[in-house]
Amino acid sequence: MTKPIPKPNPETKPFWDGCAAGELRLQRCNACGHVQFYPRKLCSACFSPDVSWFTASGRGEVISWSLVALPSAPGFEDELPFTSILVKLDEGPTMLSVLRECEYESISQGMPISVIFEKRTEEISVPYFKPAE
Amino acid sequence: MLRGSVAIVGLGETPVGELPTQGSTEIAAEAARLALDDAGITKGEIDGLITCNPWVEPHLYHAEMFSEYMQVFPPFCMTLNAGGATTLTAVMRAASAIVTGVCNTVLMTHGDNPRTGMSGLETMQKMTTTLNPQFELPYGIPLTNGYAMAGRAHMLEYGTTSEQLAQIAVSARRHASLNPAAEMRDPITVDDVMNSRVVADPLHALDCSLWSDGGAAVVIVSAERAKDFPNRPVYFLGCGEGHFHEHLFQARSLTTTAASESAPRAYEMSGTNPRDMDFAQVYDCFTPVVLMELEDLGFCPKGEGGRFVEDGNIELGGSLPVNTHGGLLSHSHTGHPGSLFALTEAVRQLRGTAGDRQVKDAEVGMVHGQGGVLSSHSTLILGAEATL
Repeated sequence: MTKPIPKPNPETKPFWDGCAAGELRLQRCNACGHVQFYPRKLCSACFSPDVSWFTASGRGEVISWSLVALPSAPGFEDELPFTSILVKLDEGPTMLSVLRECEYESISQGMPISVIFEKRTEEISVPYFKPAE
Repeated sequence: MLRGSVAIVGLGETPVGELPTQGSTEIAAEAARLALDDAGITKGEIDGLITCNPWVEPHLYHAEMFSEYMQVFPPFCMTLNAGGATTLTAVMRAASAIVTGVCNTVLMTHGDNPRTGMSGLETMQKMTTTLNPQFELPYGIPLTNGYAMAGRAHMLEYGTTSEQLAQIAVSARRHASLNPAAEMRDPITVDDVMNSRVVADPLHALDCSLWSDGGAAVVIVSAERAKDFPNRPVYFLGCGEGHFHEHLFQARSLTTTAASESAPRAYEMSGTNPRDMDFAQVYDCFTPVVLMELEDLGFCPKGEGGRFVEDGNIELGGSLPVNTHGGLLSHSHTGHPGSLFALTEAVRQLRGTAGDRQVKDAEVGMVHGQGGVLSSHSTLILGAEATL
């Protein structure tokens, strides 16, 4: 089994195009300034349709983490164990992801991390994180 | 308007554990038959039907399929799907339908057989269908690790310990040891929990609920009619829902759940407060969930959940017996029907027929369910006749 390939829709395509280009792209509301993830046509704070894309810093911090040690979804057998994380991005939104290039025992809350990408197809790369330099 | 308007007059429970010779529809039907027998009515008297889609043998229009299977033709027929919150939300939907005259006699039945009806791979695939397909699914992270991350956040924020979480599993098992219908009845200790396999750090195997086949059902009628049935009626006093997110990464907080909104709504409707509760049956798919619920439901201050469970408050004889049947941790976790066993246990406690695990003089009790990953919350408050 191979890992799942996300299927972009019109709302999310700019995000996935950004990942393929090595950039983490988020949306900012031009009416109220709210930054949101996941992508939506409307601002999730004020419901304005005036929302624009920008390239985020790709940096954030670890809010929480857990070790995925037991067989999980098909396609991930060779990666076990790996570290699931919840990331608070510097721009505000929270993401679920996986932390790489880091000893599990050394993870701490608030630890600065930065985005890396795993290429799954020509069109789709998935954002992962590693400790910030 | 809804307080005291309807009552539960029938309950049915199938055996739980491994039911390899039965399908999910058959289990739901058996639970329904037992509930109708308990209420002393025939299926022809049902004019409201609420079901929930099982994992095994799901149907796009499940309640409609089930009405066909039972050959009942109700004017009120709905499939509800809010995970573990479904059951309690459904009671409020039933009350609304009865009060507004849409129907008179509601049967709610759920059955499922995820333990023997699905392979490990199928279970994993079904579990992941609740994840966000673009922003969660690509990482291969099991649901258990989502709960583990929420539990860790509580530990980091409030100093909650693994030993305190373990005490919740120990208390559930103690209650299950008093319940002949429970799946796991051998007492366990905090050390047993701590020494069980780490499933999703910081959660141990015994911090996690069971995975079972089984089903349960209740019959709900108007309060005016409630005394015409053979068993002591248990009245609907209040219910409230709260919804903060569906996917964990969208949670407003990892440590304060929407129970903090569902509970005040239920207290307000019922005219009760946390101190009035003689017991609480709360959703315990993983031990940290119980801790957060006890806080958010108002039984102890935020962050004090660990000390609250440590002091034995949640055991029979304590200030708030929790999950007197053994809960999802030790009675059974049958998937969506899981919290229906918390409801039937609450009814039994308020009838005064809970046997060795009866809470003395129980008159008011709470049932709380949550679905998703700390996502949907529903709080139901029930009372004996004296509370009307």
